[in-house]
Amino acid sequence: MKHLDRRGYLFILLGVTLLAVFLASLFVGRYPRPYWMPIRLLGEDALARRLVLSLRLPRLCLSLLLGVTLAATGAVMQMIFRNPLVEPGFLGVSQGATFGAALSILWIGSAWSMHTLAIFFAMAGLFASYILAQRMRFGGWVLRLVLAGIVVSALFSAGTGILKTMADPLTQLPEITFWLLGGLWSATWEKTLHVLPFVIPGLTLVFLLRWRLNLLSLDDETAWSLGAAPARERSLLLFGGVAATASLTSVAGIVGWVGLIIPHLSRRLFGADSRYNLPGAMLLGGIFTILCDDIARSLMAGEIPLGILTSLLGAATFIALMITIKRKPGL
Amino acid sequence: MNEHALITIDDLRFRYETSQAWIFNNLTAMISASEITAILGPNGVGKTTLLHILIGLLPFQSGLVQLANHPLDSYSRREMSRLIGLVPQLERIPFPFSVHEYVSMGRAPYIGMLGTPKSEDQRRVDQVLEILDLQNLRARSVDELSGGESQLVRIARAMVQEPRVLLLDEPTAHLDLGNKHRILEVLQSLVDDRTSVIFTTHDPDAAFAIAGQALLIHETSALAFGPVENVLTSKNLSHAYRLPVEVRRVDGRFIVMRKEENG
Repeated sequence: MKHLDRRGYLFILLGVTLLAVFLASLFVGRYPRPYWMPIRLLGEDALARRLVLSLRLPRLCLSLLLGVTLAATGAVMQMIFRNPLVEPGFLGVSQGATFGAALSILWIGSAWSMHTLAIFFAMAGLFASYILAQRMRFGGWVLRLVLAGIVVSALFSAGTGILKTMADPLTQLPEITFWLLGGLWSATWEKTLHVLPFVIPGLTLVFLLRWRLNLLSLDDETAWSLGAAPARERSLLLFGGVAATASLTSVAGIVGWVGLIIPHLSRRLFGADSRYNLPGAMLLGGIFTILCDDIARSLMAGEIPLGILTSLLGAATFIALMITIKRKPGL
Repeated sequence: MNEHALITIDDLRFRYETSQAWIFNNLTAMISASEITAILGPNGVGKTTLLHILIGLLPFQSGLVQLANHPLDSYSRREMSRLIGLVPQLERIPFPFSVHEYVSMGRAPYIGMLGTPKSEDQRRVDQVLEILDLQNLRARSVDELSGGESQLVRIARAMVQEPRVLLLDEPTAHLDLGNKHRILEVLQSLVDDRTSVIFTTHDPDAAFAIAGQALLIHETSALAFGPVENVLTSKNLSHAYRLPVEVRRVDGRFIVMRKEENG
């Protein structure tokens, strides 16, 4: 039997925590009274059973997938862009999805079209950024993609701005605003199944290439000399992660900070080697997002947008990290 | 074809896509195996570019470059990375990997794209760290190393790669006298282990100290290549660096001195 090191114990601890948080969250909510549902009610109350199985469970699954995906994609992006400040939506993905959702709210109005248009424009944002980056005649690969991402995001954001001025201020505008704040209140099994074809392959790819990611964070010539094809491999990882993120963004709206703060936290715990910190980020992202969503749906009678909570708690955690632990360069 | 030829370069022409100026125009040279080769030339002549061409990173416009008697483009990425390694002059490592984690990356040519280092890879890493006397830095973060340590750690990363040819870009630049000596010693020991070492330098003294052969680049082609004492002559060096210099033999060692105008 192999001796477990500190990382091994940490993984077990995080895994058990995630499982416990997931199961406990099934009983957190406002039925029959705020915050906690006695477990025995599951056997006695048909409504409680239905509530747990067809509302809370799919929502929990989605928040788990959302947290895992955002954290994993954030970790991947920080590695391949060699920059600890990038987050999953910055390549035109978040702004593209917002534009698509706003378009649907304004002219079509069905939940399905919103989902479809959001994912369509999220991917369109990524492709536009990518093609623009290829066409640029200066700078390295990373700089070009970052610039292209900023430009494409700005275009979509301007487009969303125009749509907002055209929206009905009493019905459509609040809906757009609420979507922008992010949330999982509309989660169903159907939506959960709908994101799986993007999320499962994306996360599998990212997980399997977790050690390779280390290589891809090095300079191009070093990565190349070690047998990698940096541009090709980075693109592959990028598309895997972003496709998963885009599909979840189309369901959950803009949920910020998870993809930025969780990889940092994981790097603190597991070190710079992605072999460990990527799975670590996945577990932490799941725990963090499920907890945030628990608060979002049960703290008050009305839903608190998830994006607000992740920003609030994410930023608070970040501040705490910054002032309590000695900062290591690159983290 | 020469059996001992490790690298042959025939009529190499190369320029960057964004520029009209040829970096290399009809560069021809031959580097033979199991010796230390120094590539010299003034700043900006394209020494680093040549190393990037040799690892297949930069496709060239015309000519033929052969590594171990096969054209560069006949190798797969993986085959290439087992044959030839590179230690760049400067390397930005954006995350604070431990020395052990960083050196382990050198095992990539032997680990599948989806794989992670196995125990035999770890053993090889530990061996190399021991050879270079770096075990005490094992858990240290790569961004907390001194210049000399950092250069050794990067050489360790290339050593665990076990390439037949190791390219180093200005391995002794910015190092103090002791560290410079240490690096040159390590390069010498690599050759004793049947690795061919090719390094660029702007310092003829480093070349004289350990290199058996040299390639002197002037403008866009090779001014001379072959045994170091035939290449790095007073005449060639003066011509390449546009500075009258004199190569003198003092106590059996070559030193390069600036020639006094009125001396």
